Amino acid sequence: MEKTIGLKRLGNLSAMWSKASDSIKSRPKLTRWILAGPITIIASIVIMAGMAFWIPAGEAKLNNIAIPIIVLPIIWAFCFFYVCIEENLPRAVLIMTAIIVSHIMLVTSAFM
Amino acid sequence: MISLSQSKTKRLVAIHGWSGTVLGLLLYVVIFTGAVAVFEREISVWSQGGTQYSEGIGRKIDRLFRQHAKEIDRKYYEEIFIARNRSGDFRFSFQTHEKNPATDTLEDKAVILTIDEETEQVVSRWEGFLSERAPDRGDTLSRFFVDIHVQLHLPNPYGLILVGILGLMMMAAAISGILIHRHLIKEMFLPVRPRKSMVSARDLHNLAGTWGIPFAILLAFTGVFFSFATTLGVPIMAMVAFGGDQQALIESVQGTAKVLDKTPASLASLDYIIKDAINRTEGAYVTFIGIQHYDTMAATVRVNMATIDGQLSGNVFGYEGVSREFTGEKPLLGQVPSLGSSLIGIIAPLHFGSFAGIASKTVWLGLGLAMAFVSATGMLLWTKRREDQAIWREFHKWIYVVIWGLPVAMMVSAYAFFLTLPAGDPGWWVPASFVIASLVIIGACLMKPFQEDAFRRLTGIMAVGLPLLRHLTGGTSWSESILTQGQGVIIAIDVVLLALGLILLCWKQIKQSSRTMSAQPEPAE
Repeated sequence: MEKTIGLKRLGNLSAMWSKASDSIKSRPKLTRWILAGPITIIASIVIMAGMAFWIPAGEAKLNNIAIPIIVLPIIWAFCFFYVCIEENLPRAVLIMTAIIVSHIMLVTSAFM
Repeated sequence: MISLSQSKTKRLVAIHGWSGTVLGLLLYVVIFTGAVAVFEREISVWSQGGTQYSEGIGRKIDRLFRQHAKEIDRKYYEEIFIARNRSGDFRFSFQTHEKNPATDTLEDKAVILTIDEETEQVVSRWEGFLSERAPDRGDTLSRFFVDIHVQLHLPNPYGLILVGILGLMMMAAAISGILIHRHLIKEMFLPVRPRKSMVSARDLHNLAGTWGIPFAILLAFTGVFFSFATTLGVPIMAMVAFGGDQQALIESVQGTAKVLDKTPASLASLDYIIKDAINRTEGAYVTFIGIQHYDTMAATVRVNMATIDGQLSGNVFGYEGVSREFTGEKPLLGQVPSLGSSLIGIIAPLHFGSFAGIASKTVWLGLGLAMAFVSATGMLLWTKRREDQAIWREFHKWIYVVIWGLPVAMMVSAYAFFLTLPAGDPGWWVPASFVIASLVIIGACLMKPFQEDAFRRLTGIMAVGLPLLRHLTGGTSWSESILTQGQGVIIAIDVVLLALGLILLCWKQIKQSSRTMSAQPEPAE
């Protein structure tokens, strides 16, 4: 019974994803503009903030603060060129969403 | 060779073009003024004169410092900085942190004393929030050029953010340039086709761009760091790691002790500390002294040394303030060396090109001007290809106006500086004259068609006239600069301006003779 519910949920998710994927594919230019513009900026800032928790602070206790600030332009460049070059737009949306959500969770978990 | 599909290449070409063109005129202004601002210190010395102090703060300063410190309110004893200004006078800056009612944030409030070395008298006294302090009158011109480069003379933080965005665009243009030029190495050695056409302009753009790509990425990366570190990085990291307390972040980074013993105690001799610091290096002098919690048991002293051969940045030594005990070499940030501190330590010399003195600065100036050339020719190519559309045709014209108008407006601000320095207020006139000149140029180009020759001649005349005006308005003479001040830089900048002016004035003749030479048939062997 539980297995059937699980499969049904998976099926629903798959249907939702295929619907979202079609919607993304129907507006490739707009999607890429959004990804390369606001989403890349949000991703860069969120990654920088999240890095404070997974970069070792080191003996001086500042590597986790200084390094994310230094590499912010590099993070932006990676995200920007990835979403510009990626041919599979739904995959780009999925990866950028995963990056943003995981880092937001990392940051919020620190306050809980 | 980088292999990309046709659709990816098309997209990257669009990124390359649009990133260099949208806001491209502002990017050109930032790059050009940045190339000039590499010589900020030298321009400051050239514009106001001043003695070159190769010994830094090596002179016995302890008595002079104590004599003036006792006149200052104790609340400013939190942090004290000792340095020399560009004219060679001593500058004692007594600082505390206070909430600025204007901005409602915690800021540095200071009393700054400027003291003549010879007479030991106070030349000027200033008190207030550091964010509201205008630059020294003599530094106005060089600071203005830096200010345009750093924030386009816009209020904080908008200017910094805009310039940061321009830096990201420059990075996008440079990286996409690498990806779309399939034969990158080959293009570095391609000869320029000698035709006055789009092909020749494209060759020059590709040639300068290909050689300058590593430099462009380096400058864009370090520039974006400077723009966003304080406007975005520090507030966000303070929020994340310190619950929004920026002061806690700064204290963590600066390594301030958590519990301070504020029992009154006399500071050890600064002369002894300076002597000890000099002995720990191979010939470096002291450039800067920082004292925290002066006249208490918690006092500490940081001594910054000048950069010597083989170093990217000078040493920083730490001392206990009361016992004068050496506490070790201090990293730029924190109490112990770290990767983060080392990386931040190399960003400034790499961006400013100051790691090997005048030689590296000259290379940075050349590469910076090459980048300005790449930016300008890139915009011209992009708009020329679309000249069938009226908007791009109009934009094409305005690119020329900015290319030639910017140096003219900068020269006008320099003229205003020299004319107002003796009696007026250069702090107001330098930016005002820049704006007036820009408006006049824009107005003239709106009324009459753009004439490149006229702008070239005007820039040439102004460049030749600038050293003369500097001299006439009481600037340091060549003999004085060499014999009494040891400042070769004043003569060097005068000579560069005269040479630049003469080249621009004789541009047609130079071009004509170079054409004649290249047209002559090679002698048969």
